Amino acid sequence: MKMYAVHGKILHVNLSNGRIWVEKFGNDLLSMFIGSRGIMARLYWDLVKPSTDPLAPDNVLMVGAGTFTGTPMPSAGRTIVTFKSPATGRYFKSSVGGDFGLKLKMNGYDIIVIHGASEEPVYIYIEGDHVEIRSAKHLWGLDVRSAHNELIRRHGVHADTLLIGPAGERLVKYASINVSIYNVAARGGGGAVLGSKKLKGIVVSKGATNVEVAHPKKYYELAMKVVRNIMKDEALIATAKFGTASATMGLDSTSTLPVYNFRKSYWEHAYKNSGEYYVEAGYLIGRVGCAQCIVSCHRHTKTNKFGGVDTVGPEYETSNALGGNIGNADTDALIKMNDLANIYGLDTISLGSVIAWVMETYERGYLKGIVKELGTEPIWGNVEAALKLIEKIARREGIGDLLAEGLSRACRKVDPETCKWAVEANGLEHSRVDTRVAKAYALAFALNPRGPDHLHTETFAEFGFTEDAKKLIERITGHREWAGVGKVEGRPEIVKWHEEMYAITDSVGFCAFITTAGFAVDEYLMSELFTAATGIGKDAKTILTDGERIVTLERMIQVREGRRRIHDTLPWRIMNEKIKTRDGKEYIVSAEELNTMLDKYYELRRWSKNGIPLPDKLKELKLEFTIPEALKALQSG
Amino acid sequence: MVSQGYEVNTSQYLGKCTGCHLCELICSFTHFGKSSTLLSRIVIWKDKAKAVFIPMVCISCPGMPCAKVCPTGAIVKDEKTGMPKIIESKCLGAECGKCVEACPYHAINFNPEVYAYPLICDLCGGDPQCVKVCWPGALRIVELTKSFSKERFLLATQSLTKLKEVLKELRG
Repeated sequence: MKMYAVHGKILHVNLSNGRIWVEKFGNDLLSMFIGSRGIMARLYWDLVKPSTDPLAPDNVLMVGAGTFTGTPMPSAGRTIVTFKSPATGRYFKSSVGGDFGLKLKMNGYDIIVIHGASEEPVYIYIEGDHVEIRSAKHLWGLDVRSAHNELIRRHGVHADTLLIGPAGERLVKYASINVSIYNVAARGGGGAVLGSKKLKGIVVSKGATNVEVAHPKKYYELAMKVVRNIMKDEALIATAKFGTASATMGLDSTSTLPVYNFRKSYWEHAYKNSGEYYVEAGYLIGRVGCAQCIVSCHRHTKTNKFGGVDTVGPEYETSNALGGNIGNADTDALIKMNDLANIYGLDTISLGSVIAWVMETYERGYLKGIVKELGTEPIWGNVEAALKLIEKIARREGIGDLLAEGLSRACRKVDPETCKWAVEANGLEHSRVDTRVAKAYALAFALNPRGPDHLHTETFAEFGFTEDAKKLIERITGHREWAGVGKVEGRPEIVKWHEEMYAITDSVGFCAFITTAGFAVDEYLMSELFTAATGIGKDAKTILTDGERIVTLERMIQVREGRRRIHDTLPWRIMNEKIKTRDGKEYIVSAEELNTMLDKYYELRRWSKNGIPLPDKLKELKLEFTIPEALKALQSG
Repeated sequence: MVSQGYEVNTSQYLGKCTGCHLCELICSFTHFGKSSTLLSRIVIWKDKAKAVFIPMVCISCPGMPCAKVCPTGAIVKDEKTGMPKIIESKCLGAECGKCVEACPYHAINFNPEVYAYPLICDLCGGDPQCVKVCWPGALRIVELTKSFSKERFLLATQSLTKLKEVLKELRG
């Protein structure tokens, strides 16, 4: 049967024995799981055992292009990477922009599944039906930018790459996977998974395949509607102009900007970490668009300091993680650090969290020997120390070897007491928003299968920064006044809607900015788009049910991997130390507050008190194949 | 949008393009009913390391070097838009490709593996779809006045110079 929008083709590559094969799928799977993220979660269920070691050959890493990717749909070019994470030890999905997904579709595939491990460094080259595993001996050790340029020289200007840097090769637990050099599937250590497989990367050729949709005329009209919606969206206009770091001043004003390792939530130098400042001070050279994205929030920046840096970024998260979080108001240094993290292949959120922890730990009298090693004191705002730490972590040199393990492991080794200011949970360093003040974020972060992080369910509307955001909160909860920080009302409902919408957003390839940060596409328009693209009929209600199916399957995967209510939690500091806002109010996420929200949320989802989806719900969502595991978990408690 | 006495043109503004490829996808989609970067009449060239993005598209140079070299006279000027137009029944396709080589601006996209004939921008008959989706503003519709005609050549030449630089760097 002919498929629309997708090719219905999964490319499998086994690096252990060199086997390459194509698996086909049909509309039944697409209708149930919508696209990349959903389908790969389904594949993960069959392919990755609960006992699998994330860095062993039997872990798989999957790369999937969105259902709308390759069609003329604006901002729908995002790619999903799915694997078992060496940071969290569980199922992990990461989303990335760039051109890789578009080129993958142009080569006739929707998803790549990488099995096994090679003995020698290799890369995979894909040119339509011609797929090859090639030697990467000459690329091993190269930074991402150099490796990309080398591969482009060989495979043509219109090819694209997915690569790891030296950090991934050395199995740094928060090594990233980079697409088009500067677009990063950063979180969870996917780079280390590729490193463990000795896979430097994947090259997709310019591609000679095309993508068709089921109802071209309707689809064209809808695409133009999305274009118009994007152009008039307040949040997206700001993002286009000032990048994601346009968020800095908004978070500063609402006292949700974590600085000095979450000891303050606003900062007098915040402006130096803001997108507005990058433009005003002349750091911005131009804008960079991911595939199909007319918002083009990525930044092309330059500084003449530090020997001259011409690069892309920093994003908001980086601007804060390596900015205020480590007391850094030196924008030139920030740009340099961002570039180093990019080309070495490091997640800037985890990296900044680790450096901030080193600074606080040193301040509290530990790690005294580090001064000799760094040649400088790791005190707040010392960019020289930060730059040295980045080099050491990427190469696992000296103290870098310990720090490369991530906060949860490093703090225990140094002294369990230091784990109190290691701002992580479930093995993942906390994203750059203060969840003590933003309560829907707190609940979403606690439930997130990735750990305390924003890019799985971002409840940005909670802030009520724009009229559209307030309207959305009203639409979900019935209460417009529930938009705003510090409020606990309706948070389980807000999180539930966002989780479902986000699962669909990821699966079709849309950027989250289109649906849950900006509001150009809601579930009504989304269902129309999906129907016109694939020919599979959906409405707003059924598409959210599909989102619920994906969210529930991901939960079942993690339940099978041992996740329970006790893991739906936040870092120690967030739950035990109060934060003072600009206007003198104090906030914390108490165990009681989190438990109340979790109880309500589990009830909405029909999960047990211990966070296990109940069999009747699984049946309703057509996830019968997971029921035996649910029963096992319910019995064992 | 097009009325008699007007000529409409897309123009390239170096530095405004963010390299998102949406123009290519909407171009192929509206012309062929399917999307492919190889079926587009506009091509985005990139140096990703330096974040340089260069859209190349026909600027309908008055001399029409593409038409001059065509051995079968398959390239004519479209009266409504002023753009060169390929009469496919006369075109030799993959056997020839002379127009592609003759175009000074790399503005003819020819991939015989996906389509038998070269592709040249036709301004969608006067209502260019790429312009509609280009929010970054790299593509615009501009009335073809004498002064703009000059500016357009300047911009195209700048793009070309940059493209040559980029290709030299990337191809090593």
